[in-house]
Amino acid sequence: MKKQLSANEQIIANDVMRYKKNTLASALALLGLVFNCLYFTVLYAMPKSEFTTISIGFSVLLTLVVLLTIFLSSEGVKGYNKKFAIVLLVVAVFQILRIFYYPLMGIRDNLLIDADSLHTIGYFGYYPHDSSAFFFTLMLVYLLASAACLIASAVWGWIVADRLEKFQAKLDSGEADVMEAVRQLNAEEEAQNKNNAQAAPLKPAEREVQ
Amino acid sequence: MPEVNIRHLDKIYDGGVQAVYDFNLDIHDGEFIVLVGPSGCGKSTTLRMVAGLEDITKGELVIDGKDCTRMPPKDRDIAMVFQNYALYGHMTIYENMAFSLTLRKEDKMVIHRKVMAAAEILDLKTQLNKKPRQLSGGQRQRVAMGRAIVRNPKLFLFDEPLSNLDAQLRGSMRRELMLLHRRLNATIMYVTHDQTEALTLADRIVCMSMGHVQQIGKPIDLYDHPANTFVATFIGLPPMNMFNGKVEGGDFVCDWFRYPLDERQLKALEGYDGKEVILGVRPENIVKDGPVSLSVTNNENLGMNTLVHGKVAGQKNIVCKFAEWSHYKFGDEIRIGFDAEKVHFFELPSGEIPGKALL
Repeated sequence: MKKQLSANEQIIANDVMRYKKNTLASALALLGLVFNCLYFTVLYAMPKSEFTTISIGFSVLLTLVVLLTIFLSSEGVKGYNKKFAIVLLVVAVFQILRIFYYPLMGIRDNLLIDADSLHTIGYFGYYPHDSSAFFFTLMLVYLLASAACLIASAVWGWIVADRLEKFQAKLDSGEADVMEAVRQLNAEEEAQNKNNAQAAPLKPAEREVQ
Repeated sequence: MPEVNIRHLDKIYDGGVQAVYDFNLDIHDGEFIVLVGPSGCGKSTTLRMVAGLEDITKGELVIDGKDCTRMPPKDRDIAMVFQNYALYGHMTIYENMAFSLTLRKEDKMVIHRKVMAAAEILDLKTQLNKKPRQLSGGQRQRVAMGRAIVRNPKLFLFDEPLSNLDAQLRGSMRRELMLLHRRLNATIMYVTHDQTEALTLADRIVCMSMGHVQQIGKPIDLYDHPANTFVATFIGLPPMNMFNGKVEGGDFVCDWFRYPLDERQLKALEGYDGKEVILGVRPENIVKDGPVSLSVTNNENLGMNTLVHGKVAGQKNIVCKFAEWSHYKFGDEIRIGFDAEKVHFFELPSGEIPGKALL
């Protein structure tokens, strides 16, 4: 069970954010980026598919924009910037929308791809030769996973950034004082240590002396 | 804070070069010890042996009652501050200060409290999100100290921490170090070749030369009662003026002047009649109007005092420090004398062994 923090401990916990990056939100965003990469490695590894048209060029461009946006946003949320949480959310929605283009199109129209000539780092291992739908499902899963990571990153980034914003307002208004909290906690710890030392059982040699 | 006992410490490197000879010292709780001496005298080697960065060839090191002679550095509970700061350039100041505690896997709230407390002491609170390259030399050194403070070690070791700073900053950092020592009541071993640092910071000074301890004592003791010619000339700026001569019929006689000895001096020099000794006098203990003739070669007005360089009897170079502003010119002949209470006498050095103090 999570320990209930005292008011002073809460101040310290919040103050840590002022000096530490939001690495969790950033890592989640980057994981979303990795899933996006896996998605396009499968998509662009289909040499004889129906997709090798002019639209694939547009898709490449879009992918580059998505990659760049996710990367920059991951740095943004790392620095507790709320705006980038919104950007990540928008990209996540876009990733979900992408599901309805290539992957669903492939599954719905039962597009055939030459599975033997498909070499991609997006998938290793056994694949069913009789169904190309397997690869489109894989692309769908990657996009969903990417979107899920981006949403998680955006939500966590927003929550923590909001907490830090409120804490900063408290600091500015003088409602919270970090150094006072540090002093009080140190004093409490010192008193606790003293009590523990007094309560500690005597060693045999000390008992003999007494 | 603990006591540190160093007994008969020797350091002999592979190849037989001995850097430290029979080093003995008891450091008391909360004491500020400064190891001072010229380059290559073994002071840093001694410090590194205490830190565990150099093996102890012979002797014993006891910290807080625990034998640490062969203990690995990480278990000695010692923090060391280096001359070149040794900060991690890719980390922020906060991360640098928190690094050792993070490695120990301490709770992040505890780490934060310790870092903030240290940052407040060192006035670094506004710099915590910066990288080391964005700070000045003095601030970087404060960060290095902060990194030591957060660990709350039994003993702080400083290896020439101010040597990289300019003179003005060194002065202000010295004052900060004194305040820090007072605030933390920390036990500190500090190495420097700068005698000003040694004299201003130390509770006790260990003066070293060629691996040997020459004298251990309070700064004022080393200054007023140097144990030998090495300490006499090393401590004090400008250094003590030394005159080689002889005791003859109640006088000190040298090639350049004859100095009548008083009762106290005669008593101290009993048994030295006809023997060679050295007379030492600090520049500030030279007074105007005396029996000795000085030919001025240089006059340096320093604002609060004047350094007058000259040749006694046109031969022996000495320096005098006069409290008032002087306007001597090259070639001026002035008369000087010595404050009898402040004149020192030493035996003649024998080879590399400095001459022992007689008075």
